[in-house]
Amino acid sequence: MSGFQKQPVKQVVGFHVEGATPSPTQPSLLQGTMTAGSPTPVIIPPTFQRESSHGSRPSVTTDAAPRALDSTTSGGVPASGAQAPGPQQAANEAGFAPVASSVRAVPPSTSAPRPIQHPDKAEASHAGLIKVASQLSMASEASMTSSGMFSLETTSRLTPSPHLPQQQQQQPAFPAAHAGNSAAQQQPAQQQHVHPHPAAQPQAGASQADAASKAGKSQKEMTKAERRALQESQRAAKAAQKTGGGGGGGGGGAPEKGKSSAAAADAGAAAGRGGRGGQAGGDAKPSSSKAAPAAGAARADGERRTDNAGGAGAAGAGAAASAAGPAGEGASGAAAAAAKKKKDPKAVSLNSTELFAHLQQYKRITVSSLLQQPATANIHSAILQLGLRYADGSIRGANARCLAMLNAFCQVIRDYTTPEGKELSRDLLRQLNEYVNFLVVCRPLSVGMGNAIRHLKLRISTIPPDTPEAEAKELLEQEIADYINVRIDSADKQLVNYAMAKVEAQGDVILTFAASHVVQRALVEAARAGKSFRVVVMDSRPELEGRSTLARLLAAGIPCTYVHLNAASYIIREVTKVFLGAAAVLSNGTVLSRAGTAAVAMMAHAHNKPVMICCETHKFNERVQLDSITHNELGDPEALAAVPGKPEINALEGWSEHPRLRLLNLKYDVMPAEYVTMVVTEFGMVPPTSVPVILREFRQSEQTVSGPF
Amino acid sequence: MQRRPSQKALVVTEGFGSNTQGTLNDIAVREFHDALSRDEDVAFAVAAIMALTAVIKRSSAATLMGVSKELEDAAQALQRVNPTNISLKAGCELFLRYTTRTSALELKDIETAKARLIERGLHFAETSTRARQTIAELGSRFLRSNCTVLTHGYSRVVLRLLQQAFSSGLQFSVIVTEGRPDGTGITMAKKLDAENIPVTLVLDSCVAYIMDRVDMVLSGADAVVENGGIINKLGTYGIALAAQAASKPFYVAAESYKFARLYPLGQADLPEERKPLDVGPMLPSRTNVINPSRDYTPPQCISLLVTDLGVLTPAAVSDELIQLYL
Repeated sequence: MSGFQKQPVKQVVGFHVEGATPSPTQPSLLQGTMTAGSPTPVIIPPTFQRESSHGSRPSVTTDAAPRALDSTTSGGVPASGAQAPGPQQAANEAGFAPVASSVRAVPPSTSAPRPIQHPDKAEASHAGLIKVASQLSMASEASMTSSGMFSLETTSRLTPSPHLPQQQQQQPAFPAAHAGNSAAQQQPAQQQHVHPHPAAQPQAGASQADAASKAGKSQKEMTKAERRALQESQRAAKAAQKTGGGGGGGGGGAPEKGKSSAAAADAGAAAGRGGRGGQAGGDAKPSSSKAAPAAGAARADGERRTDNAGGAGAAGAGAAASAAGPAGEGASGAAAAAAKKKKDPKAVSLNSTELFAHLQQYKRITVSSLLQQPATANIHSAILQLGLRYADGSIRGANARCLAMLNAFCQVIRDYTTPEGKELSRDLLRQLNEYVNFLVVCRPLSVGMGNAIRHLKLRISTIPPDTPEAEAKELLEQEIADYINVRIDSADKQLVNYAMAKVEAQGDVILTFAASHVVQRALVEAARAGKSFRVVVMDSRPELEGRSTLARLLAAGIPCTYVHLNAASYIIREVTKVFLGAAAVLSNGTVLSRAGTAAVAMMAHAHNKPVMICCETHKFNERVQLDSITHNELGDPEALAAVPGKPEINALEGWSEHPRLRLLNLKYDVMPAEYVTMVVTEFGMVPPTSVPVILREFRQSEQTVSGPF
Repeated sequence: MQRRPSQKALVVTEGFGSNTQGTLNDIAVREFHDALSRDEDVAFAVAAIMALTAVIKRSSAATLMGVSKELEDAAQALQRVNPTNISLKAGCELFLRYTTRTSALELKDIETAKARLIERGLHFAETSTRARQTIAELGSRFLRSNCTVLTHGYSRVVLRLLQQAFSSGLQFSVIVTEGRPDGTGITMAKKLDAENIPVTLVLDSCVAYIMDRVDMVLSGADAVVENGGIINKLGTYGIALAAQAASKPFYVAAESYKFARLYPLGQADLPEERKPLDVGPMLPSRTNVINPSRDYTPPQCISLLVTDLGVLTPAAVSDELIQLYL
């Protein structure tokens, strides 16, 4: 840290670069829309403010809904809630529908212009986001802890949002886009959840126990009764695991893969009962009676589908009546249909997608799906917002995601107070783990984020226990600021200098693929330095990220050619150099990057064109990876099915119904080191074979002094 | 390794700066040329190191910052003497890095610190001078009896290596290319012949023809770049390709002061150095002539590098450089 001045933490909400989405800037976030004491900038449109200030507490007007959720939370619903297709349907089944429909909320679409832009892509989820914001602000009115955390009761008491989907469906005047969107949000999630991949079957109930325990961890403040209930549910889950047989499951809220038996559903029911009891003990005010019927629904549900033993069971064992319950009605109908379909194709091997069954399956994250997770209640609002923005893609790109995460953590640390009788380093670590798990649910971590988290955790764990809290927090904030400044910001600058030096003064034709922030910057800087060159921007479906690159380069006055990946073999002849970004560089020199990059590099290698990878060392990883199967990220398969602006291309319509068809949308691919001419880092240009040397140097410096610098 | 004819002029311009830095630069340049003329076996880089050590000795700067500033200036002045010589540049950079890098800076007393720097400089110069012998000892083990070695142009370290192997009683023969346009291969052949080493001279264009009879290729280097590739006399790359095609090992003998912070992407990416070419009066007037004097051999073509740091794979060069510069 020696060489760097103490600098204030930079607030970067969404890097200005990646993704065409204009990120909300800090000022707009702060424009007086916050409720006093609200820890993070949350955006509350005027409509909602009015709503909240009217004081129509949801707990008063809407009776059933909060209770349904109450049972959820107090029962310790684990992560599975994320996939639960909405407690609404459970409520319906249990006969609450009329009450639920009485909830009158202003439909998000009618709200005033929002500071968060990006209407087409993230409308629904952002609408939801605002909803959260409004709720949170209400929460902060009602009972907000100074730490910016919301206690369980607070949120559970005033959460009308599980109704969101239903509200949307019930509003006939609601824009079609919304309705469709919300439907879409529901469906894929269910399908993925309810019909686990055959290959994943062995990993059954453990996830439940796991999840249950996680939920337990997150609820330190539970009453004794609640805790007992939780234990009971865990025991039940364990029993379920024995009968159902199973291995591990994704942590936090990783999609529950796994078929579970009726026993699992039973466990869910038991948990529900436990939850009820716990609630009776803990929070007597809102009547808790609803838990039981809901649990019953879960059981009935589980039994109804014992043959396919879908996710309803898993969700139930996930210990929540409300999580299991929603598998009712239309959703469950669709799910059941899909389940049947899933059963047939067992004769056919779907090898290409089965290979990827171990990865976190894609599921659309929405506010409502998150709110069904009881763990969400414990999540700091900055993290919530961050997670949603990861999920809807408005923060993308390795650097941007890492920066946004570090900033959110900074906020978390600032708002942190050590609970009585706890140790800061331990408690904060625990909390951080919880947040990280939440973020993973929203989108798998990138390598850079993983490195940053590891770094931060190391620092937290090495804080001496006798350090005063204020000092420790100061220290950590400074640590984060240093990390951002040194490893990301100034690293970027250095890297750009090195990279642009490799652009000839005259006559270069540079190929780049998709979008990389540093590559864009290097090219823009090179143009600014008076070099004359042409850029071939190569792009590919479905993300079409290259267009943002194109826009930026054109704005800088650089002549460009725009081609798609299919034109690679043609265009490579006129190219002199290839500049590529990377999501990560691994220690065997393998480069992990946006899917399609490896093909570009391979083509360039075959034509003897130098391939330069621009990657800061904070994205270096010690892992070794030989293929793009072991670690990867799955994108929305729906993105492959439709071509925007071309409705006549509809051959894949209803693909999910097809028994012998799966779509695979891989996000990254792996480029072997032999295709890489050099890796441009902030320390200069190194051959890919030297990546482990840099890693080693870092590890040594990490061990000896407080930081690598 | 030709000396620049205009050294006198350079010395004059540097000398009449009349400030101390000018004098120091003057001293550096003069020392540099002295070192070169004292012994023709002294490499540019080693001479530069000696010159820079002399600068520290004469330095009147009161702070270490001042000393390093003076050193940098002097290094610049030295590089102006021969701007296209990569090993000179590399030597200067390495020296600056080596002397000013660490512990000397912690000493409070400027005089002690200077003494320390001088000590280091001398040590560096000494190891650099000894480097060739180290390489000869390490590299001669690669030769087997009755083998045939192909070499390109004149390289003092290769010559020393071959001498060492021959004096240890090994029987082998050497094939030397002619080394057009400056005929350095002929110089090499003469020196080898003087040592009684059997030597054959071939045309530069004969390399692929002769490759079948060769057991190994041994090359010197002007500079070793960051990825373990080398920059050397024109034709080296062609020989390396021929050797690769014929599956013959291609060894490089190079002192570690030739490790340069350069990363060429290809032949066009080299610092330019032009040498006059005598193509004769027969050339049609509209014909373009491209006459580079050196080329870049990528690491894929190189089997091993014999350096005074040990026998390295090309990838290990980058490791050494990272450890030095990171």
